[in-house]
This record gives sequence, structure tokens and C-alpha cells, in this order.
Amino acid sequence: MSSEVTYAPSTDAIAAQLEGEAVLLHLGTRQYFRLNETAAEVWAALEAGVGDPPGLTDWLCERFDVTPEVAGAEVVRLLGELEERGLVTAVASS
Amino acid sequence: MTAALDRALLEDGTLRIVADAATETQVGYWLPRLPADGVDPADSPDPADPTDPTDPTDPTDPARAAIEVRLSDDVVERPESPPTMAIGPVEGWIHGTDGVTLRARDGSVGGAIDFVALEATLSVTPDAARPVATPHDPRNAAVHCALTLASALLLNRMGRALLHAAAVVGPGGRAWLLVGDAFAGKTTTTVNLIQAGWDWVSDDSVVLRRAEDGSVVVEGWPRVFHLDRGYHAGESTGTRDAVDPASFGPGRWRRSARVAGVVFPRVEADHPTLATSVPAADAFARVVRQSPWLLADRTVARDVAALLTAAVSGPRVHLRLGRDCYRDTARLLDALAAGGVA
Repeated sequence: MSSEVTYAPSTDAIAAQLEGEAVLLHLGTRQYFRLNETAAEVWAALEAGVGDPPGLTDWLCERFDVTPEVAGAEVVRLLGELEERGLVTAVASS
Repeated sequence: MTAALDRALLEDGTLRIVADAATETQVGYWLPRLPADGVDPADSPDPADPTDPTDPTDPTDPARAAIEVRLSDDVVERPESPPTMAIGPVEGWIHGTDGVTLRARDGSVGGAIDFVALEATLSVTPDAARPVATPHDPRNAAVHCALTLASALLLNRMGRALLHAAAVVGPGGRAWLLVGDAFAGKTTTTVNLIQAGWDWVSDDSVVLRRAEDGSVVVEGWPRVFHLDRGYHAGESTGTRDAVDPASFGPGRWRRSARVAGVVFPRVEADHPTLATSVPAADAFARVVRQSPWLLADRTVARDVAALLTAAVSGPRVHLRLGRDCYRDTARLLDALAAGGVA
């Protein structure tokens, strides 16, 4: 993954936002993925059209007391997991 | 088709089922025990009762959806593509936004749902239409599962959701959904609460919908209860008998009520009865897992997910059912009250 890649929710993913947390369901595999409060915020950003890792890092830093380094690492880790499960799609920027 | 059976399945009459004389018995095994036609006058809403969730029936909105069942040797061919879903012996293929093909693997039942017309048409072969010894004879599974899937998928298109769940109504007039696997204790808990003075909506099958104020209303599709044979002895045997729910409290059935929250019972006989909080995300996943058809239709999956999200937005508790509450309803009520369920 590089910062030149942008991400968007997969059309196979359904999200239920629940009291700060969220559940993602992949409609194809029928598998669930539970998001904690931080990850649910990343998902909300993805749904709002913020798809680049630096933008997602800024989104987290604006909402949580966290350094850009920690937030950036969390964003990279989470996007990797979501992509592996088919919950987001990655598009390389031109 | 000359209909020998023609019944409303919902309180507002917007979903009906009709069957010809040859399939009436089989359809009757599946049919919820509801008032004969639409809203029974005895169950009409009390306009002075602000807790009554029944919305007035719009006279301009007659039956929007229908399920038609008829005898025929001409059961739909099995599509070549892999099925979208399978419930018991019945497979389903959802064709985008247009409709569904349903077919039992043995070809005894099959048909189509037209999502534009909101009509399901099922054909039952003469062999499958023969009466069986009991409603739960395995030979009846294909008709039962086909009707369940057809109604569930039509309900989703109507903005509603069919849930494998029980529902009881507490003293405050609000309903609690009881969600869990077979033998989790849904019926036992329902019966215990009826005996403790609560009302009931269903022990196994309910329909959720949104009220105009955004709250969630549960409507029952009640059938004969299937209660553990050891219930009266205070034991869990794993074998169930059919029981008339009225025997536990006549006149205690409620057709619908607003949802207060969700209880997830599970029998753990050797531990004390205890109610503990369940995170909303876990509750959502558990509800969907119990009713695999809920999010199968991608066209309306997000709407159904929003309805379920609202349904689990209230209190949610895991109810561990120990032997100590089998014949002690006070113990059960205490545990539920401690978990915020009342």
C-alpha cells in the first residue's frame, strides 16, 4: 500500500453504525467485521469520500487525542485488513 | 385459481396468502395463527391508549403483496447458476432488482417472486401436497421453508423484516425480542414470563417494521409452542412437545407492540441465572445470524440493516438461564430486572 492509493467502501459491504462502534457485513462472504470506535470513524470517513491515507490520518487526529504517527499506522493497518476482507476497494491515483 | 384459503398475514392487511384446495392443508401447517381476516375487531387498537402501536389502516392501501400457492406438476426449472441462498431443502436465486427463483432441491416445490408486482407464486407437486402426520414432519420442510423465504423476501421489499425470534411484552407495554438458536430457551422464557403476568407476541417468528415516529414495532406470527418435555419437571431434556400457548394464560396474546430491547437467552443449567449487557454491534450480528435471509436481497439490504440497527438500539442483554429459574419465575424476573429488562 502507498499513499498514492485511495480507498472506497466496497459495494459488497454494509455498515451498521451502533453507539460509536460499527459492524461491517460482506454480502458475498456473509462474514462480519466489528469495528471499534477508531475504526468506525475511519469507516465514516471512507463513506464521506475521504479515501487517501493522509486524509484519513488527519480525520482521526481531528477527532481523537492521537499523534499523526500513531493515527497513520492505525489507518494503514486497518485499510490492509479491510482490503484483505474485500470490504474496501483500492484505486491507484494517476 | 379458486382460493380455498385467503388470509391476511399482517395487521394492516398489506400481505396476503392464498392457496387452492389441494395445497390448503400444507399451507395451513405453516400459516401463523392469526385472526381470520385482517384486524380482528376484538384486537382493534384502542385510540385512547397511547401505547398502542397500531397504525390506522390506510383504506387506499389494500394488499400490496401476495403469496399464491397452487397444485402443479410444473415446478420451475433449477437455474444453472449457484444459488444466492439456501434454507433447509429450498434454494433461492435473486435476480438483481427484479425477482427471485425458489426451488426445493427435490423439485417438490418451486416458484418465483416478482419484486415489481410484489407477488410470489409457488407450485407444489401432488406428492408434496399430501397431508403428513404432523406439521413438523420432515416431508413438510420444503413447503415450510419455501413459504418462509417467499414471505421474508417480500417483507424486506415492503420495508419490514421477518425474524426468527420470540417476543414478549413487559408490564410497561413494550416488547422484548428473544433471539437465539433452537433450544436456546426462547419458548421456555416466553412461557415463564407469561406465567409471571407478561403478555406474548410469538415464541418463534416475528415481523419488524418502523412506526411513523421512527420506533420499531414487532408483530407476531404465532404458532403452536414447542416446549421442552421436561419443562413441568424443571428439567431440560432437549425434546419438545407441541403445546397450546393459551394453556399458560388465556387472552394474553398481543398482535403487536413497540420494541424496547433485545434479550439473547441461552440455557446453562449448571450456572446461576444472570443477565449481562451485550454490545450493540454484537447484538446486530447475532440478530442477522439467526435469520440468514435478512440481508440476502442487495437492493434493500441497507434499508433492512437500518431497521435492525434501530431494533438493537435499546437495551440488550445476554440471559444465562440456569436451573435455578426453571420453576422460579421470581428468580427470572429478578435477573431480568437487574439487566434492565422490565
